[in-house]
Parts: sequence; structure tokens; C-alpha cells
Amino acid sequence: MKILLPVDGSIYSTRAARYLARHWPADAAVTLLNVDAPLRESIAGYLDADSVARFHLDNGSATLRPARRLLAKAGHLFDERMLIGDPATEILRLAKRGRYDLVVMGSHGRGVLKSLFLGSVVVKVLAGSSVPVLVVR
Amino acid sequence: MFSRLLVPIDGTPEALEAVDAAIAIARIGKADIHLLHVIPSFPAVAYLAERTHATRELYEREAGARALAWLGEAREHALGAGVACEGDYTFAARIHEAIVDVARDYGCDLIVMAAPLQPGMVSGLFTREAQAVMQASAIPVLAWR
Repeated sequence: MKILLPVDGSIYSTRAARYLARHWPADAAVTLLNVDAPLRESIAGYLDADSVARFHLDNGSATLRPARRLLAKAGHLFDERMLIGDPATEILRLAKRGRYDLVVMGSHGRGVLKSLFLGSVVVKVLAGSSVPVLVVR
Repeated sequence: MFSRLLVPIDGTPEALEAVDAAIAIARIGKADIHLLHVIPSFPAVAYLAERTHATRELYEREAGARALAWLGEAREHALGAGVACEGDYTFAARIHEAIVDVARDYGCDLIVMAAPLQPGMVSGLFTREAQAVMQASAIPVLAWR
């Protein structure tokens, strides 16, 4: 069973990771994913490609850290992916192309208005996903 | 893994697919399934109260009978697969609140519900009730496609 676990470093995505670690299916092949928003042109224009790549690598790695630690501590094996782009678009694209069976996400992300609404990324993923989505609050 | 799954159904084929998904999940962890159909409450109006009363009775009887048929069909799927399953219907003004309340009352640890893609709709509009349940529920919700 291929499971995609997109995280953004927020408390909600860490909860989703903890939930998956506890309810790990026996045949699970989990991919931990972070999608970093691209740097604005006005900023990226001053940097060379290596610096931009380094920036995204540092960002992505720091964002994956809480979930990575959780899953590793629970003794699970998993893959990691870091992508750059619009989070919802990239999650949907990878879920489809990678033929995942399930997407597991936190109910909220880093945005404001946390308790009232579902996160904007999770709403977009729910609206566009052809595979089941498990939303963990 | 899980001990009890709540599966809200609405009589659609998609809901029955969500039931089958819940059965597959329940079999892994030897969980049982609680089915629920929420019938929207009959709107209360003071005008023509006597006639409304008769209409309400008819509505509740027919909606209840339909609910029992759907629950029975879903239950057969579960029992056929060897998964313990019971079900009930309830009347409520706010469907998502009733789902969340029942999940809590029955100690469910996962809600599995159909959230079919609705092509042609504005992005962000998948099944309205599923989204409302996700907002209100403290336990995880599996949006089944």
C-alpha cells in the first residue's frame, strides 16, 4: 500500500505523521513529502542556482525533521521527497503519477484561522485528489 | 489498529463503496463498523400546523423505511465479509454534527465517508458534508474516493 504523507512542519502535519506511525499498515510504503514554495523572482534573481537549491534543501530538510524523527523513532522505513512549487498542485501530481493508494494529511497547515476552517492545501487536495485522503486533526 | 469505524451512508453507490473500504480496514484490525444514516429534520413551521403534522409523520416514516433499507444493504456487505456491524438512523438539522456526535458516543476511532469528486464544480467544493465533518471531528476522517 503506497501512502503519501505531505508535511509542512506544522503541529497538525506532525500529528498526522504520529497517527500514521501508530496505525502503520503492515505492507505500507510511505513517502514523506515536503513541497517548498518557490522563492520570489525578485529574490531568486540575485542568487545563483546553487544558493537557491541550497536554500530549498535546507528548508525542506528542516520541515521534514519532526515527522522524520517520529517515523524513525517508531522503527519505520520510508522514502523522502522534496519538491518546489505550489503545495497542493505538487501533492496531487505526485499522488497521481506515483500511483499512491492514500494521502495522509493534517487538517490544518501553517495558515491563519487555524481552528475554524480546514487548511487551504488540504481543501485543494480533497477537491482534486483521485485517491482517498485521510485527514487527521 | 482501529476498534470501531463509523461509516455515514446516504444511499448512493459511492457511500456503499466507502462501506466496502471500511470493511477492508476493519478486517485488518478486527474492528467493527457502525453505520449511520442522518435524515434531515422536517422543517418546523407554525403555519398550517395540523397539515404539517401529518406530512411530518409521513416524511419521517418514509425516510425511516428508506434508511433501514440502505442500512440493511450495507450491513449485509459487512456481515458477508465477516465484520461485525450495526447501524442506525437519526434525524438532525445539522448532518455533520450528528455524525460527529454519534462517532463520539459510540467510541469510534475513524470516520470513513464517501467524498466523490464533483466534476465541473468550483475547485474546493467536494462533498459539502464530508468537509463539514472534517472541520468538526476530533477523530480522523478518511475521505473515500
